[in-house]
This record gives sequence, C-alpha cells and structure tokens, in this order.
Amino acid sequence: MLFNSFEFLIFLPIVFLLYWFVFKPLRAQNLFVVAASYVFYGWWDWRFLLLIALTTVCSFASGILLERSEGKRGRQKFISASNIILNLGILGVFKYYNFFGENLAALFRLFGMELDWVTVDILLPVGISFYTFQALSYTIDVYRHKLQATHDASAFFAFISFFPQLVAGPIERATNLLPQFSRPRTFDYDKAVDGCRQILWGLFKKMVIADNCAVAVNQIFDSYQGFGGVTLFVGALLFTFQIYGDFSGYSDIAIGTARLFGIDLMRNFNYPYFSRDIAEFWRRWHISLTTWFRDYIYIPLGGSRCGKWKVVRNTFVIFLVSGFWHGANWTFIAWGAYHALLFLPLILLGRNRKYTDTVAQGRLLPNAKEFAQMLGTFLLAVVGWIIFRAETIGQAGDYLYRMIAVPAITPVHGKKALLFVFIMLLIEWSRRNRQHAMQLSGTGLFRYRAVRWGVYIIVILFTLMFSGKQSDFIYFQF
Amino acid sequence: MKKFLIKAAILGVCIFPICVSIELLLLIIPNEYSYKRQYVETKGDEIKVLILGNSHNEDGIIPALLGDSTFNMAIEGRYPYYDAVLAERYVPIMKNLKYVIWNLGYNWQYLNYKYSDSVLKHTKISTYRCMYEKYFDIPYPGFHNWSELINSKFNYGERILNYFIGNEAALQVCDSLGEHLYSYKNKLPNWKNVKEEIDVDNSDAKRCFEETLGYMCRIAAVCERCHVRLIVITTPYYKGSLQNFSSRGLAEMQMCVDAMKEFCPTMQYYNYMMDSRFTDDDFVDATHLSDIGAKKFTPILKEDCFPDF
Repeated sequence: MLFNSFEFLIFLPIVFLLYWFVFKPLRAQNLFVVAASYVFYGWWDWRFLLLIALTTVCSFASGILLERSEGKRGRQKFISASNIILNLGILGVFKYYNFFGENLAALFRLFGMELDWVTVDILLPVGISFYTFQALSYTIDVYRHKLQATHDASAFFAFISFFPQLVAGPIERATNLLPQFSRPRTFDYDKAVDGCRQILWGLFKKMVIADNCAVAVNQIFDSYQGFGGVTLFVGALLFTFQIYGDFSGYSDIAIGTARLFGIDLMRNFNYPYFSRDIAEFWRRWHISLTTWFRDYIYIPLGGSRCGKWKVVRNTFVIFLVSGFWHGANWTFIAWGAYHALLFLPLILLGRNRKYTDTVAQGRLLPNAKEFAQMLGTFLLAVVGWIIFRAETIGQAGDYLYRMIAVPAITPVHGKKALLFVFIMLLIEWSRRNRQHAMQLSGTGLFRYRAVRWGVYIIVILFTLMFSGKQSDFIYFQF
Repeated sequence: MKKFLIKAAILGVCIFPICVSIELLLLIIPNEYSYKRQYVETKGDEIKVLILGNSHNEDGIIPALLGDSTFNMAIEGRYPYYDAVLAERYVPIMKNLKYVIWNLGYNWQYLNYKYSDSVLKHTKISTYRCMYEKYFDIPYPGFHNWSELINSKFNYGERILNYFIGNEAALQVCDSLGEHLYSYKNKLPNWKNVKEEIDVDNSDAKRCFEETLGYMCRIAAVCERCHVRLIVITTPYYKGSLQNFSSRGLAEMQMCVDAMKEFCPTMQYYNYMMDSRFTDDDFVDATHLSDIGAKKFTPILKEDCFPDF
C-alpha cells in the first residue's frame, strides 16, 4: 500500500480510530498495530509476510537466549552471530543472489565456461533492507548490554513491523522504538497536529516534486545519448530533487503518521542540500542509515580514533557498504566509493565536523562564501546521483562525459518540475531551522491562525492539482 | 482527542467541497473524451466513416484527407473492450455510417483492461478507467474510478489552470475531426526502442487473450449486424522494430483477424506493418506515425480502402 494512494487514505483513519478508541489496553494496541502493519505490507504481496515473521521470531528468540546465556560470553557471541548471519542470509538471498550469480556467471564466461544455472530471477521483497537492519540493531544492542531483552512478543512484533516505517524507514534503533511499544501511550494533541503537518509536507514532496521530476528524469536518462549537455544537466538536477522529494517525503509521511499513534521516530533528513561540505551532507541525508552504519560498523572498526590507514579503510568500508546496501549493482558501489573519496580529505584533515549548525543562522540569505560552499557541495552530490541513477558504471561515465563535452542545445524537459523545485527550495530555506517545512507557528504573519490554515489549504490544493504520475517510492526497492 | 477530531473534521469539511468542485469543474472543461463523445452524439448522423481504436489510429489517420464526413474517434490507450462498447452504442444509431475503421497491432490480443497489472504493465490504466467512466459512462467495477483526483494522470491541474487563464490552444488536444497530430520534431532520442512487456507465460495471459478476442469479435458482430463495412488496419511500424516481433505474436495477430472475419465475413484487413514506404521522419516512435507519416499514410489508406469514396 502506498502512502499516496486512495487505499491509504481509507486505511489510516480507520486504523487511527480503532487504535485509540477500540484497542485501548497496551497489549491489544500492540497486537492491533501488528495486524494493521501486516495488512499494510500484505497489500503489496502477502507471501513476504512470512519473511518478516521469520526475521521477527528469530530476533525475538535470540534476545531471550542472549539473556539466558548471561555470563557466558562465548555462547552469547554464537547466538548473536547466528541471528545476524540468518538475517543477512535472508537479505543476501533475496537482494543479492542475482547480483552475485550474474557476476559469477560473467567471470566464468571469461574462461569459456557457461554457468547459467546460477542465475535465477528472485523477486525482491519491499523494504527488506530496512526491517532487517532494524532487527539486527536489537540483537546487537542486547548483546552489547545496551538494551535488555524484551519478553513482550506483541511489543517486539510491533517494533519490527510498525507500518509507517516498515518499508522505507527511518531505520529505528531498538533502544528508541521498542521502549515506546512497551509503555502505555496517550494521545498528544500537539504531536498529532504536527504529525499531520509533516504528512502534508511529505505528500507535497512526493507527489508534486518527486513524481513531476520523475517524468522528465526517465525521458532524459532513458535516451541520454540524444540530448545535449544542458538537458543532461537538467536531468541530473531533477533526479537530485526527485530522490530527495521521494525519500524525504516518505520519511516525513512516516514520521508524521507515527506521531498520530503517539510514537516518535527519529529524524531522517535535515535539509541536506543546504550543506556546506560533504560531511555535513552525510549528517543530514538518510540520517537513520548513516548513524546505523556509524554505530554498528564504523565505530566497532575503530572509527576515526586510530591510525591514518585504518581511518582510510574504515571510511571506505562504511561508504562501500552503504552503497551496496542500496542495491545489488556496481553503480551503487561506485556511488559509495565516490562519496568516500569526497569525505576522506575532510576526515583526514579533521574538518569533518566543521559545520554542525544551521547555515546562515538568523539571516535571511547566506553570504557569498556560504552560498559558494552550498553550491559546490550540491554539485558534488549531483554528480553522485548520476552514478546512482545510471544502469551501469559505463553509462554513468558516458552521461557525465556528454554532459560536459556535448554542449548541443536540445529541448529542455521538465520546466514545470523545475518551477516546483524552486518553490520547494524557497519554502524549505525559510524553515531550515525547523523539523519540517510546515512548522509555521511563531513568527511574522504565521502568528495568525488564519494565515497558517490558509497556507495548509494552499499546499493541499497545490498537491491535489499538480501531483505528477503516481509511482512507487524509489527507496522501496532498497 | 476531541479537539483533534473536530479540527480534522473541519479540515475535511473545507477540503471535501473543494475536491467535489474540482471534479465537477473538470466535467465542464472540454477534453478529448468529452469532445469526441459530444461530436458523435450530436453529429452522428453526418458521419460516414468512423475511426475507432487507439493512438495508432488517432495519430495516424487524418480525417480531412480521408474523405467527406469522416470522424476520428480513436483515443490514446483505448482497449478493445471500450471500442466494443462504443461500437455497440453508436454504430446502430448512426444512420449514414458506411465504414468503421479499427486498428489491430502487435500483441493487442493482450490489451485488456482487466489484466493490465499482470499481463501488460500499463501505468495509465487507472486513468483510462476513470476517463471512460467519467466522460463516456462506461463503468469499471469499483467505486472510486470516477474521480480524476484519485485516478487520473492527465494533468487535470493544468487543464483547470488553462481553462481559467483562457488558454484554449492548450486545452485543445485534437482538431475538430478528432485528429491528434504529433510532430516528428518532438520525438525522443530513443524513439526506435520497442517495449515488449507482454508476459505470455503469466497464468492470466490465456484468459486475457480469449476475453480480448471476444471484444474484437463484438466489434465485428455489430458492424455485420448494422451492415457497416468494417476495415481493420495495422498501421506502419518502424522497420527496425520488426525484428523484435516473434512468430508467436504475428500468428496470434492473424488468429484475431480470422476470428473477427467469422463474425463479419465482409471485413477487410490491410496490414501496413512492414510497409517500406515509411522512413524515419514518418514516425514519432517505433509504432506511431508522426504528422509527416500521417499525411503520407492517410492517402495510401484512402486509395486502398476507398478508391471511389
């Protein structure tokens, strides 16, 4: 079920009302969340519910076994390793089997051997990377004694399957989300209203920005050989905003929806295109995944507090794994490597935490230096997105080459989408110190309720009138 | 909670009438569907040649070049089901109708509105269901197909905007006789690519084929019953696209023609699929004619089908 679908428009109010008015006891509420989440996921393909259930049962059992093995570190290590291998095994089979099979077959073909039997078409379950990582965080945190194993199966099932963030995150930590399912929840008016505003902004970004950009992006990338450099640059620019609108829009809807149910999810995006360097970009883009890798891979490897070569190694490991997480294609790995190369000088010079505040704080506009830094970082990100969007590394290189070397003027697509992007950027710039762009209350004209309501209704109408072709969220495939 | 529900209800009360107003406004703003329906219902008696079918006919046949009293009722993405319903609705009541031109293309035996998700991946299916339900009163099972806000991808926002700023040129999709020309200059660089998306091994494919064939036969049957000559054509395809076509697909195409002939023995079939007279500029993509191609094709069609018309 898509957030921007008619089905979800019916589903959400029904679940909301039943959740607060019918299933009031904690356990009943959690079981209802699980049932609703399974309906939400099963709407796409019910068969893959078995995979979620398997992941949940194994992770739940591993937690209890870890607790029972307290004091026996070797046994605990075996239990947690078994669960991690099982979960990564499922992920590997469903997400990466085709990739490894095809590459293996290609390798053997070089030596004149046919290995066709290794390539089988396996359907990728939606959101498998997201809920797998969430389950892994629980096992690792229990193993590290950061969290006590839960005995409440309903809370644990709700934690893994909570429908707003089940298929595309934010990837929650057990330490944050699980306790929220273990204690009674009360309806918070302010939280719910703010959640609605965030949903509205998420829908705007998905339906107006991402879906309108998608049309031009598909046209340009599908036949990039026939276009001139300007059009290719516009295509890359639009994809940069498509993926932002798509994914941050999804995150906003997920976080807003969760708040309606009294649940706080972690922030996933913090205006990444207003970053002044790549390190800041990565603190603002897909925060839940970045911090996951930081906490569970980067720091255990030694992080930045070790020798230079290890820092280089750790940086590359985290970015390559991050790239590979996005999909079974060499382009994602190249995208990760590209960002590692950009990030490396900053971390080696100790400048990776130079910008932790909001740009142009307290000012209407950035100064020339800030503007140049933002533009430079943005353009570097655009180049990265070309690699990410291309079907092969060769195609990415060819696209980049043509963008620079073929200055021919061809019809520019996506003018309407560019206008919408400009509107979004203006709004987001003005709200860049807020959690989301629809947090209006407080200053200026927004002190007046009528003005705020006027803005909400305008955004709703704009979303209704100018939404693009409905499409799946890009990050579902990851 | 009470306060929240009241505010949500107020918002709903504000938004719902706006949505209804948009839907009703769209009803009065002319579009291709409403225009073609209105034309056939008001001037149906004047029409001697009715062109049904989808974008291949809509883009490829210029009514004014074909002859007097020709109307191009074809619309992009129309499934044989809708052609069958429209033929059964309008052919019997058009007093002077002599010919119906319908087009058959490669793999169209799988063009079925019911199986579009499983057999033929068609992203605009909900739009078509909506537009035919809303503007032709041809319902599709389900209660929300009527709403363009929920279903349509046909830029209703821009239609409303153009209506209010009086941009009639942007609202006019086809000319007065239903022709929709597509300039060869606007074609995409990858225009030669053919998307072969039919999953014939799908469990639904056989049922889909049989049902679609049934709709084709219904078109043939109504023409036979009303003594209207049915002319089935296959418009020209770009020569490079032919290598992607399988013998299975071509044989099934012929099966469709044979089945239709059983219901309408007088039916004529003209296949221009491999016609070598058409060159690059005649196409906007591998299977659709451009404005130049349509100007070339229509006289050829006229000469072959209606030499004395």
